[in-house]
Amino acid sequence: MKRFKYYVLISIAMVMGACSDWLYLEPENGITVDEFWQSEQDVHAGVMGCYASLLGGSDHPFAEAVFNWGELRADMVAPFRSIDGGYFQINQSEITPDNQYVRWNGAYFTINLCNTVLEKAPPVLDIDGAFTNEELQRYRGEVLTLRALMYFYLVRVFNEVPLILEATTSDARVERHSKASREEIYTQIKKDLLEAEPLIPKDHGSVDENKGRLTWYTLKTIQADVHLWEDDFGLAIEACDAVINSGQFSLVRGDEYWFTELFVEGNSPEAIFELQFSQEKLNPYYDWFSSNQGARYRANVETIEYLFPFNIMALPEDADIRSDGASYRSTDSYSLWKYLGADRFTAKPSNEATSNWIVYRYADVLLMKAEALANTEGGGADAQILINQVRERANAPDDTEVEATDQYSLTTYIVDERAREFAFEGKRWFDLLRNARRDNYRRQDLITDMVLRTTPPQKVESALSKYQDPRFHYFPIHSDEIEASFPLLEQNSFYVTEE
Amino acid sequence: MDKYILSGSLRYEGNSKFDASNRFGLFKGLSGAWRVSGENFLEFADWLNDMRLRFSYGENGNKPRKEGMFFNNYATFGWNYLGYNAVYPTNMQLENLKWESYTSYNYGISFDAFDSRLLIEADYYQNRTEDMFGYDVNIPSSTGISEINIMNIGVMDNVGWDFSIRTLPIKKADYSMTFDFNIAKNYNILREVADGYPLERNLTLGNGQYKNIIQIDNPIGSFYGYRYNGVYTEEEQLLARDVNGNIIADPNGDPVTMVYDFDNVRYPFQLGDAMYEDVNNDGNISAQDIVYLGDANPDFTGGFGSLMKYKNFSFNYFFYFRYGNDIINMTRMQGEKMHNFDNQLASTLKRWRNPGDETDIPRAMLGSGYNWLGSDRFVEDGSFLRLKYITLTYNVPKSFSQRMGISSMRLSTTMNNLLTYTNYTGQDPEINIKSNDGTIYTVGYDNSSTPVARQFTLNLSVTF
Repeated sequence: MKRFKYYVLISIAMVMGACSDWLYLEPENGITVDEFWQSEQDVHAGVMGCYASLLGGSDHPFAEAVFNWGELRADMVAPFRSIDGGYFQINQSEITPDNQYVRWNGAYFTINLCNTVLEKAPPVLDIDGAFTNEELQRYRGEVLTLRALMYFYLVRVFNEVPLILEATTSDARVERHSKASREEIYTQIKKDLLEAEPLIPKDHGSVDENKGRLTWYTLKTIQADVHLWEDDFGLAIEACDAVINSGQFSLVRGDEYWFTELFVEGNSPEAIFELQFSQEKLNPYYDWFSSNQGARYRANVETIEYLFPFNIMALPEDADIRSDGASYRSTDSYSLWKYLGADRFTAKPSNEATSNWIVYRYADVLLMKAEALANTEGGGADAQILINQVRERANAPDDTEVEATDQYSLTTYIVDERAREFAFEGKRWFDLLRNARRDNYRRQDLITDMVLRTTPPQKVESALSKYQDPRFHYFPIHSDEIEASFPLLEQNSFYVTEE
Repeated sequence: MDKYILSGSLRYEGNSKFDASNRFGLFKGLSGAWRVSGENFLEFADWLNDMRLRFSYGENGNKPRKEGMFFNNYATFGWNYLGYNAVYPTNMQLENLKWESYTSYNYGISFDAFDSRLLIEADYYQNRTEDMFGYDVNIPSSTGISEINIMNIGVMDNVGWDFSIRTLPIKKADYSMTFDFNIAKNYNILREVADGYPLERNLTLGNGQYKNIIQIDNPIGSFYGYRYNGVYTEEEQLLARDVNGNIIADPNGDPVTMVYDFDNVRYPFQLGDAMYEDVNNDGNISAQDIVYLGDANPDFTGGFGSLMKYKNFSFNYFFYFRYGNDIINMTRMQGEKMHNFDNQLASTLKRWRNPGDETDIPRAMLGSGYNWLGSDRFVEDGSFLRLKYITLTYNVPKSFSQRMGISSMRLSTTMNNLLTYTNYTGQDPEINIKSNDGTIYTVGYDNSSTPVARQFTLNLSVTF
């Protein structure tokens, strides 16, 4: 009898242990992975999550990084009222691995969401009968392109980064990664774009969605940009032509509505891809760029005077429409007006900081093609035509017009024209670097001029000597990353203190 | 009475806070005692009430603080995109998360003599925490997630002893007095860390940072940073010197001046700047000048107190102390850094301003400079002695209270945390020695969390 009791006890214990559902308690809020990924709607919400992650939800989200990476090193902005230690360092060319602006968290946050969709969406086909393979492939095209865009930013900023193509869904998948080479990353970017090309939609059904989501035209624009960085000028021209000849885009007319249509309202006929801010998610730029207390940046007057030379003889209506009252506003302490103004004269209130971030627009495609032509034998004249197209729209005065035909002078012209056209749109540093490094750093002078315009005088000498080393053209990896991936992740050797 | 006592236990526990594969834990326990005083050979010692040797072994398991942490949860962003719901995974599945298990060996002796007027207990323990929990552990953010909510980060031992004595030296009909004393010493030793858990942090030492180094088979809680030697007040001090104290000259024969040259930053020190010790005498304050600065672990902790009674009055007090630990006074660092627009401590009024000023507070430098690198300037001795409580009680005589229909009545007043003796300049030396951010690096940092309150209590208790 006694022995029997023991058997009962032991078997109870075993039954309880064997039954895995017995202590299964789902969280009260949120949905678990097993409940999600059940239908086409879930896949749609997951893909929208990829886009929404660009705006926030991580340390240094893409929407912030895209400005910081594109402008802080360059000469378009200058420090303003609020002390911003990270920018202060960068502005003095004293970039350390603990600078907050070298965090790549936002880009990888989005990459992981893309990877998650790529892994979790295909099995939904078996669960939701209404979800077709065609729909799935459209989503895959979008997400692959978005991932490629993220890596394209990373490779230009850090040169070498870990290449992660698998979703981190569980702690068993957390791994330390070493860096992939620049070639490997570009190969992956081009491969993803090639795979996405036949899948990604050309039309999402509405104007806002065509501008706020990636389309076939965005893909082509990214391809053009990638080829330009790789000095594949023929391919870059081909990709630009695909956008230009599609007839889907045009320059916004340079009239009195130009500013409002392009920058305030957004999603204009010129827009190719814009990050969609709204009343629910205001953009961070307004607070950074205004002339209020707490503002971080304003226009660098020295660069402004170089790009838009003051002409005492000129009438106001002869001015470049992109100058005072558009890109910046001199009477408002040179604030970065593009993101502040309701029109050329009045500022928006801060609770209407809904200006989109323009990642690509049609003028960019035109000038990318001009740059590719300028670097192609006999393309100079055609390049001129494209530059003039952008300049005419902007009512650019003769003061800034250059008769350029050779590659060298065209490069200078295009870099300057891009600075006028895309002032504070996160392009400047990339433009300088891309053109400077071509032909074995033939145009190092572009970077030298940049340093002279932006660096505090006492730091110019050390900054110039640092910029002589191409490794300094890329950011260090944040020290938290080096530590979390120790010893596999190697710091950019420029930033390693020699023992 | 029993001479040999032995008991054991076996516990099998399941908890819904773990994923299926690690949900259950088996925990064993065994304890025994030998009542030496029960043996025949100690029969002659009739003053001895009880003496025993004790042994115990126990296993235990800790679970995560929150329910449902192991799930791969999804939630919507706080904003829509193009008017659509946007969903993302808020955390990853934690399939590897295991019970934090705790094993303890305890060896002790208890001694009770002279009608319990002398009680002594001494214990030696060896505790091991396996699969120790670390909360919010940094992981490579290239995974898309920058920290893991909770993971098992390693193995930690706690070895130590404690000793307590309780005495009743005076015991008379009208008055009595007790005196108690205890003292303990603990060593924590890190034995293992999880794969990928970094042993060093803050490799680059910026303003406000101490280098975090943890070493296997060593205690956690050591501080590393620069040695602070005051402020550069003389031009002479700005010259770099070699080991023999001779001024270092550059190839042109000009003297080399002190710089902070690290991570592609080259900052020449100037008058009024913080002066750090150039340990390797190369004229450059850099990572090679980082030294050991102190230890967050106390040498001893303990307390003592007494209860005195005289007729209906009783009076008791208790002191306790922590001795030999260091604290990083982060609050003072933040209050003296003079680096941004934050409010600062009054001590900054005597900062360096003009050549000729003699002070140990560097000059104010808005947004620049290296005046608040992690250094021993902010490392302080955290030893203290505190009067934990003092109580005076009066028991109203029954003859009086019963006339009012009350069976007993007591009046007492207690003061808690009345006095503290310490050299520490922060607001409270009794900081939680454990880490404040869930990692094992930052133990002993004082960020001025709410200090213990000083309390005054008046208490009347009446029983009908």
